[in-house]
Amino acid sequence: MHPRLRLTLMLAPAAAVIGGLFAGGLGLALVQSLGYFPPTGERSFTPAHYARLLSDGEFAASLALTFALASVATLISASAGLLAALALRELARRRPVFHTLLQMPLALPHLAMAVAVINVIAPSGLIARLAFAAGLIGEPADFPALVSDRYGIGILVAYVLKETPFIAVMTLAVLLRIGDEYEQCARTLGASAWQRLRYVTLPLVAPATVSAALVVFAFIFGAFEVPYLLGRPYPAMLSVIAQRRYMSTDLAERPEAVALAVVIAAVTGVLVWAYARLARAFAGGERPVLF
Amino acid sequence: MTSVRLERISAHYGAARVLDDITLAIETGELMALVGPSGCGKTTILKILAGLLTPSEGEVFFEDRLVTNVSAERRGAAMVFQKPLLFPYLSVGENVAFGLHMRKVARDETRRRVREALEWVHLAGYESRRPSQLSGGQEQRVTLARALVTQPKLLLLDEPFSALDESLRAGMRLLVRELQQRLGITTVFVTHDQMEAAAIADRIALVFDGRLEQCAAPRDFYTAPATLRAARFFGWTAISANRGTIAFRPESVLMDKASGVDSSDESFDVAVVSFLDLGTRLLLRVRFDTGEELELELDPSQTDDRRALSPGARIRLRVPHSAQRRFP
Repeated sequence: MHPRLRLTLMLAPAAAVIGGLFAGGLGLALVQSLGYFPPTGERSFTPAHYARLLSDGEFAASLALTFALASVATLISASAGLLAALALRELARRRPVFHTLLQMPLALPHLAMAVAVINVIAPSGLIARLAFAAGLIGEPADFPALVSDRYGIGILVAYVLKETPFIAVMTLAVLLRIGDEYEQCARTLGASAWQRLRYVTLPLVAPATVSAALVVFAFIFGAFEVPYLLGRPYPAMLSVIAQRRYMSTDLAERPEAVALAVVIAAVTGVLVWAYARLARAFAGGERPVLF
Repeated sequence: MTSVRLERISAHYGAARVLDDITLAIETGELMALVGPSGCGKTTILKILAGLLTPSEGEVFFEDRLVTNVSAERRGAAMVFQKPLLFPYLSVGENVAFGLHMRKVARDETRRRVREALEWVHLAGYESRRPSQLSGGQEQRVTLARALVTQPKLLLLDEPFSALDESLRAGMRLLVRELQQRLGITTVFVTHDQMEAAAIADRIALVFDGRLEQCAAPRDFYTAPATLRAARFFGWTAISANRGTIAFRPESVLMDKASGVDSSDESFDVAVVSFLDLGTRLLLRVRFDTGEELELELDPSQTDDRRALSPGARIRLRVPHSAQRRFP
């Protein structure tokens, strides 16, 4: 059998699943978002649902919140993860068990983290009760609203707690792989501790940290369960609005909900493209040029 | 350009002692090779000279200045490692400029010195290349330029060519020697290869198990090794004889023809194990009565009778007095 044909046949089952479920689903969503939705009798294509989204105040507020929360959570997680990796490097080199310990939070589902955050920082949570017991607040309900709050602080806390170990693990793996010879070499060339961090260590781990941060941003941008549990109804994150409208008894809201999901997918798609581009540039030892 | 002295240096990794009472002086502008088997402590000595490790005992001097506790970044000893360690996110020019950049040398001077250093290593015009575009030999030449451009007091080379193939290594050795002599830089070169050490160095320091075995000119290791271990490391053959061990260079062995025999020459009766006539030389494997085996090359003029060398035959070998060393 011709090698190409053989390869195609071997890949066919996997390609069928990915093509059918993922690409098919995405295609169907695109078609629906453009107005083709037979259950409500709409069979023509129109950009009207996108236009309505753009003029919708809730969408604008939600997009701003989603973007801001994803950016801030990514920035904090990346900084904290990088610092944690640098701090734990020596320990992890001598005692590999620390590397394993750091990986454990990765196995925790986001849903569990959301519940944990409620248990700790909600007005009925552990901290509020401790503050009450210590006489800092009159009653637990006086505790500032950190869950279902206007700024999405609960969501932010859950994501930072969940994503910091992820970025730390990715960065630490690179730090352990490159070893300390680059820094020793820089020392003999006259680089001080600060110069080694600035000109050697950070540029060497940047590909891993930046790639991990992009993945985190894309994930938070589209994720649903944490903002669903820890957010407030208005403004809600994009995924929550999409779900609410999709589940609405009014079928006419369905195409708009799907259009929202397509927007999320498009943003994620751009990030995946940027990620691939970054990874390729770093692998070739080039300065990444993104745009 | 600095003379360097190590005085009674010892070092430990945890409980293990890796260097034991090393005293060594390297003269200004000298190229000293540190030689020894893997794990003998050569690289540890180099890192102590660089300031990357602090010895547990002993002192390091540059000229007469005590530098034991001077950090690597202030010591002025540039080190070239086994791996090229070029920063992948910098161009070749930026890599070479690294040390000057760290010392905040002015931009124009940096550019001029980088250009000059790249000319030294025959890579003029490579400034804007990426490290990923270089061959293994070119990478090591860039690291050499990166070290030399900082005008170090001491240049330290840690098996820098071990990843290159032999034809490249010979060229790199010549380049290092030529630059080291032209710039007069005091240099310490670590290698586990005695031939490489002899080819490049003014003097060789032989290290075994963290101790200095012998420090001498390369020739001395081939004519007068101080110890049996030094002799063996430099290719001498040692055979147990009455009154200790006798060492000799395999190329000095003669077939005994009973004439011109000096009474102090050593003779051995051996059995031929195998024999090859290569035309210009005879390749012989023999077994001594002690059971030890030895490979020899003999000049064909030493015997006309090839049958006398057939496997199983017994012959008598002689080691001239001038070519032997006795060790207790």
